[in-house]
Amino acid sequence: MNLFPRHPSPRPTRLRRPIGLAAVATIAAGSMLLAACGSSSSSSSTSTTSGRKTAYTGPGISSSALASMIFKATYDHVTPSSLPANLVETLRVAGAQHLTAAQQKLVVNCVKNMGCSTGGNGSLTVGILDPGPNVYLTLFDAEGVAQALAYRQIKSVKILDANYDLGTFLTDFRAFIALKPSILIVNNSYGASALPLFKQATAAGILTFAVAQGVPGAKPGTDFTSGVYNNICSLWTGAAEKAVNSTTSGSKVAALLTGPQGGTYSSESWPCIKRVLAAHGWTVGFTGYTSYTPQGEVSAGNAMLASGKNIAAVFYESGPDNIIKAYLSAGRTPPDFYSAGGVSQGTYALWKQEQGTAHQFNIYVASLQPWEYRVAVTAGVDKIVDGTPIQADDIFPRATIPIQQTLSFAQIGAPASTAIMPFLPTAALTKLFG
Amino acid sequence: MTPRQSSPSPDHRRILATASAAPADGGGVSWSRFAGVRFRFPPAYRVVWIALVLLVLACVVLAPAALNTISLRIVTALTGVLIVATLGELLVMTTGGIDVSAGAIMTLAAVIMVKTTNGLDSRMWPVAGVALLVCLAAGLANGVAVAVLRINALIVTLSMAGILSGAVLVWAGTNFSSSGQTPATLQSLTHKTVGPVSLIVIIALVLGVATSAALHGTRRGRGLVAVGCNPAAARALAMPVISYQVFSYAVAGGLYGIAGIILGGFLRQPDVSLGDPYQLVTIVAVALAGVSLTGGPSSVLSIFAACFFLTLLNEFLAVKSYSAGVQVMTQGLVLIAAVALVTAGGGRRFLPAWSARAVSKSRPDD
Repeated sequence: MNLFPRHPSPRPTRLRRPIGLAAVATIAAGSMLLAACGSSSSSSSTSTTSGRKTAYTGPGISSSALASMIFKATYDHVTPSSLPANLVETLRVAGAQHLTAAQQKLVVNCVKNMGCSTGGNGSLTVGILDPGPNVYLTLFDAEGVAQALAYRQIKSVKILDANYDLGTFLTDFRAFIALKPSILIVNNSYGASALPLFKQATAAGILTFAVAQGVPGAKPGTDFTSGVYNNICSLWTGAAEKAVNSTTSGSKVAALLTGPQGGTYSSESWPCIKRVLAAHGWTVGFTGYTSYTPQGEVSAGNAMLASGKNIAAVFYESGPDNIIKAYLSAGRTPPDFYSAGGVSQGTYALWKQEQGTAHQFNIYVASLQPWEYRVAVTAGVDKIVDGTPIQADDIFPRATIPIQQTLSFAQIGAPASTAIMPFLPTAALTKLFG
Repeated sequence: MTPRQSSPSPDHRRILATASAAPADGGGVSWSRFAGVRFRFPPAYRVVWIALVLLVLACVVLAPAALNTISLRIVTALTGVLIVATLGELLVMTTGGIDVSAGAIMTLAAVIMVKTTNGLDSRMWPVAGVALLVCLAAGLANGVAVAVLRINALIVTLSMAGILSGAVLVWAGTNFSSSGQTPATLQSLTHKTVGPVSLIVIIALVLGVATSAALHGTRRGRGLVAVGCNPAAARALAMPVISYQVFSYAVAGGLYGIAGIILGGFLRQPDVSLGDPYQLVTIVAVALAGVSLTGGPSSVLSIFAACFFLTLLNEFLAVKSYSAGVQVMTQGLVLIAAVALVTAGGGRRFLPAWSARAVSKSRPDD
């Protein structure tokens, strides 16, 4: 996954009832936007150079621009033909998109108001269901809305946010099923508990996409339309191989960090990392749990430092800032850090500030993949308008690279918490997060 | 002297009798002083100190790294934050109330600091003042709803937590400001240390001593405790019970605000999860310190110990790098054991009858 909730465990019930009621009220209002769902648009369609039918009718991009978009999306130099067709088409549309000031404002307001009319003349509607509010999910929503603006067949977008409460999440999911949007994007952080609703939504004729993470026990293509995510084990196997091959510290001790104790992400990523480390004679000297909170990260960073272990590499799916700061505050050089996308403009500033000093360190980052919601939009519209087939699983490659290699597309000047490499322009990010 | 103290238990009467019978010239063993300490510091208050000593010993033997300079800096900093927040909870629980909005109010204070200052030092102090006023107002609203409108405290404070969390998201979003940072001066201040000890815990201790002095050394402070001991009796004595209760919630809101501002500075770039760990841990700390959950007297000294115990326990488990299952299980077992001992009055209830008699006979006042 690339979407590690900042509060992955369901929050205390304090927020359940008020937010749940608010969600119902919001949905009632949102139903105005979501009328006449599920019908096809009558707009004309085109074909891409690969022959794939697409509903997108705007300008195209050059092959070099597409290659640049692919690198920005995956941090890997791969050819378009080796990637899922939906991803390539998504990047082609996103790369060609130049949002006007008015469109940027629309994107920002759409996210802040949890929905909007996109101005399209078609009848398609998009529903987005998030597990809770955080900077990453806000960015994902904005990217999804921006992609929807590229299609005049889409009429409106509605966003619901479960505030990290399972009950609210399931209620919101049911509400969406009742409203029947044409395309439903579900970022499911609640494992198999949402599976019956995925099945209901699919049975109701809604193109339902599981993004960022799969649904345990589900059969993609049958229980839901398609899964849009990456292979966690593959990502971390690659990161661990990079660590054992590139470390210069001489130490063969690694640290593994994750959010919640016993979380689903680490249960998938850690065995893959450990397998590679063990094969190269490395050991895991420290494991820490942060709950994905700043305080948890500060505590874990200090505990790692206090343990006195000579850590050569740290693997953590979220941002490294607080852990690195713990080392720097103590006058120590941070170990090499491998992060799966929680790297922000602030991280980049921190890394740059220490370059050339005695405490310079390395950060290896993977793409945050804020484009996953975009993939679902594109795949859904193309399917409805042109009958373009959708793969049951759109699993994308994802690699870790040194942070300096992201400089070519880092949006310097964007708010500090903004993840590096969103597709949205800096001005829109500033409006969204500033 | 509080009402609870004015009608002492048979055990306490024995102690008082001994105190009055003690030699006035101070010759020999001064049992009066001993008895006074025992009276003011009953077994329930002592348990956490015993637990703390055991934990420190465990650290020395099993995880010395948990007590090194690096660890102590973070442990004392987080202990300081917890003490400030727990002092607020203590005031509320002393009057017989409960407050689960501590975490939300802390987050609110930190968000106001980040959003309104946008990391600029020049705005720090005025904004800190505003943040504290807002937190006091939130606490006041809790107090009015609980004491005046007589709505259940748990429901009121739970709802307040929800309202504040929602308001924060509506007002500040998920990023708060373009810098996302608290002012540099606040960051610098909260990272200062005196040797291995964080300045935060020193500030917290000062606040704690002031709270203790106010609770035990002033008429109004003792009145607050009296209200918690027996509200009906306090009302019969024409004490302004409602005012005391409203006051305790309001001051608690202010203390949560201070804790939130300090923690925001320490974390540099806080997020909406800042206060989450404090929603329940403040209640655990108060319970661990031997304070009755139904209100009454308390020991700020034991609050210090309880907060240090809870933070050090986390550091011990983190440094040992135990697996997730072991960490969760250990935390649960240790806390249940400690709170059970507190509830059982220092463990005397668990002693076999012959042992309890032996302990009783060994007392100087028997």
